[in-house]
Amino acid sequence: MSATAKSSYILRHLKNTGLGETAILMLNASKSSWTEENPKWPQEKPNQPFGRLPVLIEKSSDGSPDFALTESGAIDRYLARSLGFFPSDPKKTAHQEQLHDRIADIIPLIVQEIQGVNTNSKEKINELIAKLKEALPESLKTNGSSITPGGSGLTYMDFFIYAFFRHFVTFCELKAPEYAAQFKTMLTPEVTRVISNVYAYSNLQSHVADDKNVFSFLA
Amino acid sequence: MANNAESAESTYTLRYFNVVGIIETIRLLLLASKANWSEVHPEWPQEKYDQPFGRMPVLIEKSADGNPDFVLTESRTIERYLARKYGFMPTDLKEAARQEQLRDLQADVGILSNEVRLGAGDEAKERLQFLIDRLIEFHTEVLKENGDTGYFLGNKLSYIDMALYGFFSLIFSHPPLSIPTYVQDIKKSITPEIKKVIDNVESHPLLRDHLIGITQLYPLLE
Repeated sequence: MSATAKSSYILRHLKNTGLGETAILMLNASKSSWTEENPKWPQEKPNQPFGRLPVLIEKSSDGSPDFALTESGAIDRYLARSLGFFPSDPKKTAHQEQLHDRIADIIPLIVQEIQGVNTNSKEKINELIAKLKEALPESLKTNGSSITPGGSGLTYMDFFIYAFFRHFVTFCELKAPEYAAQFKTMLTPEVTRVISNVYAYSNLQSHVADDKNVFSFLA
Repeated sequence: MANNAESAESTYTLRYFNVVGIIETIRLLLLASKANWSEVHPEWPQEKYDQPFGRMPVLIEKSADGNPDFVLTESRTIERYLARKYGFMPTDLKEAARQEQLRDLQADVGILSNEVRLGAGDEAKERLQFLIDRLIEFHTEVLKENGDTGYFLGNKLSYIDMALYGFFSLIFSHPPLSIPTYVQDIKKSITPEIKKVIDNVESHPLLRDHLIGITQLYPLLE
């Protein structure tokens, strides 16, 4: 029995970074007891357990001390593992993590280019996007979920793919449209099926209801 | 040898450049697991497009039972896969998450250190110093909570002992030249608790032969 069956969570993050969105999907999908906090930043920095955001705070029901965790990747993987969203096969889990890392490698390069911090990465970004597009269908096929009617069977990969298109690609539409256009060419039937499955999951209904405005294929 | 029902005799090929780089932790994990492994250094960039994502490291696991090779990229995903497979990740999920958090913080510092090395300015340098201080502080705190045993978990080698060693090796091998006292300053800030871990990793019977070369090039301690 998982100790987290009786845990409740606080997720503290800055909404505009998109770094908490995969965690939010998993917390909602699992019907965990949780609350969201968006602290004033940087004013609230000294009040955080590790001086950084996002931070996950897990409160147990048995009086043991709160568990605080930072690093968005570590938070996502901890929730995926403890809430049961990883495949049971460690090799499939590793391939899901690999796909996540490939996406995560691209994001800061684009953000830095937008900020004018690093403007020499265009070739590298385009190469990584092309390779991601190539790798995506196979990844989904071999490591994907077995979705049952009603939606159970979603895994970590489904959530981060949904969050990526819902938040980062939407962000790119405003700030880096040439990259958004490339990402949208990745919306193959395999990928739109993942997004549709997440959207249709009954536990997520209230959280994703407005997303049909983002994903035209959901209409 | 690790007794793993599915691939008791997996053999591994690790593809990377012939440098310390970002894979020292992977090397230490393979050594500590007593796995059968070898390292190859593809011609670069000639063999770039032979790699699954045009990048390295690449880990190829051949199982003894004829199953297809398992190919894995992304250095920290490789680390976590091997660490879990060979029992170096804590079984308690919170303790494991803590080790992953520390590892991701190391990676943040490594990436920022590299950015400063490539020319990022004063704001990045300040942020780098802040993160290094936090890194030393958080690692030391976890070591104290574990009773200052010279290990992060109980009394034996686990993932983050090796990862911390690999992290220091990486940043000492490629310090930003724009901070002339970078390596010395970090060495001075290494706490006694961390020093014990470094000593334990360097003297570990499965790791010490490999590390003799690294310690000569990039000694972690004064």
